[in-house]
Amino acid sequence: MKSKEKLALVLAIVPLLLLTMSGMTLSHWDDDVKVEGSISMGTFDVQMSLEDFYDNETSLDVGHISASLADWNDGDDVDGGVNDSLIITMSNVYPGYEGCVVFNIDNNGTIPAETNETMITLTGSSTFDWDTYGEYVIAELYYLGGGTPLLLAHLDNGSLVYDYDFTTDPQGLLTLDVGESQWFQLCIGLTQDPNAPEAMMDTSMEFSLVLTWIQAVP
Amino acid sequence: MNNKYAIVALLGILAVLALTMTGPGLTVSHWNDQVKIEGSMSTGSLEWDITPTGLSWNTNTVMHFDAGVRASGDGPGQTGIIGINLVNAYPNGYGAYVFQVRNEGTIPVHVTFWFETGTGCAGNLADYILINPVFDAPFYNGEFDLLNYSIASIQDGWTSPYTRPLSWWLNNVNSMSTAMSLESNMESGTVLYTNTTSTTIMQYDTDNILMPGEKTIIFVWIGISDELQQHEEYMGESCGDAYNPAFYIHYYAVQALP
Repeated sequence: MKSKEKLALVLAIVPLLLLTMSGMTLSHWDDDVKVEGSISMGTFDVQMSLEDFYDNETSLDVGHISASLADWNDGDDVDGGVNDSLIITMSNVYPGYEGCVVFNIDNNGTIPAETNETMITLTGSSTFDWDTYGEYVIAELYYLGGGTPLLLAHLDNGSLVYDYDFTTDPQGLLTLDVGESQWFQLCIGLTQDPNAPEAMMDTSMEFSLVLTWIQAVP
Repeated sequence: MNNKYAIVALLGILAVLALTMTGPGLTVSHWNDQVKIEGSMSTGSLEWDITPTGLSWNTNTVMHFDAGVRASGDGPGQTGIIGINLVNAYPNGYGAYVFQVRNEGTIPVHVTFWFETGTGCAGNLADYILINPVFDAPFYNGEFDLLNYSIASIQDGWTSPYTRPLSWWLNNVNSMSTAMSLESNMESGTVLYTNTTSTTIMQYDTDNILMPGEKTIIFVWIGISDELQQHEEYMGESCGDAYNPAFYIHYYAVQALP
């Protein structure tokens, strides 16, 4: 090998070696940074609580009303739907008799809840002749949190009629902050009507009122 | 392509992707919870009846009663009629007829009575019929005692003592051997109707209530005034059944208010 060729080889290898050694050295100078996060989910849980139930009998004691809380899993309740249902049973009802149940809807979760009137559904038993007897049935839902009872909705010939302006919601009933409760009263009975048909005797009717609450949008 | 346009396009794609992913995320991520009220209501029934017991008492065995239900009225809006004939009646002849009221439904009732005299001879015989309904059983120390109970209000000819033990009435009037309420909720009263006319309907509206399952006995005192003796035109044979004057009890029940 000629000296020029040797020199060229050396010039090619040395920088390569230097670069290699330099690179090895640099690769030891590194540092890692990381972001560790944890997310704990809140809970969304609207429940009911029972305050009282009573009827309008003063001298008599033949009609009966009872109310109790029950669990109801609407499909995805992680807690099994604890206290998500209020059961009202009325027996030996007669014209003029009216029973009322006072209850709360409570936000027991950690996230605000909201609803609207489209998420309130009323279902009556199909076996009851609402067309004929519906006018004799009283059902009134009141809000009690404002001092004097405020009529929110009532049953008119078997159909739910809203007396409260749910669009503007002046009482703020459609939202439930965390830990907040709303106080309601539901009264059910028969009108004192001498023309109430005899065929209403020994009959029964059932109804189901479902309120769906969703988490409030941030 | 201009770099500026490339960046804008890239941002647009990212935005669309973000919205596409966020959209279903919003729907799914909305937690919800439902509460419901389940109610059931069953109604009671209004059922009652009034039945003649077939028992009566009169001043002697000559005059007696012939009673029967003319129209049943055991439901709401119905009026029943019990017809009572005083057979072989005569002036100053009196007696008591007994009938029973039972609430067989599940709702308390008010019972209202109308007493109407039938048309007797010439239509005026009713003027001399005396009617005295007593809405309570006259018991003294467990004994049924018409004499002591009624002596203050009844007239001559009504004072024959008639005493039976309570058990007798339980077994005979009500055909029951078990204890039941003979202590009527109906207000005891003495209402004496005289000088009625055949066109007048007298009403006695009980203020009190007959509770479900309760029974009571009503005594109706009926007689012919001795003033009739002064009107022999009503006593002649031409009057036909003038000696058997008819007397009607109309009854009607409404549910009690809560």
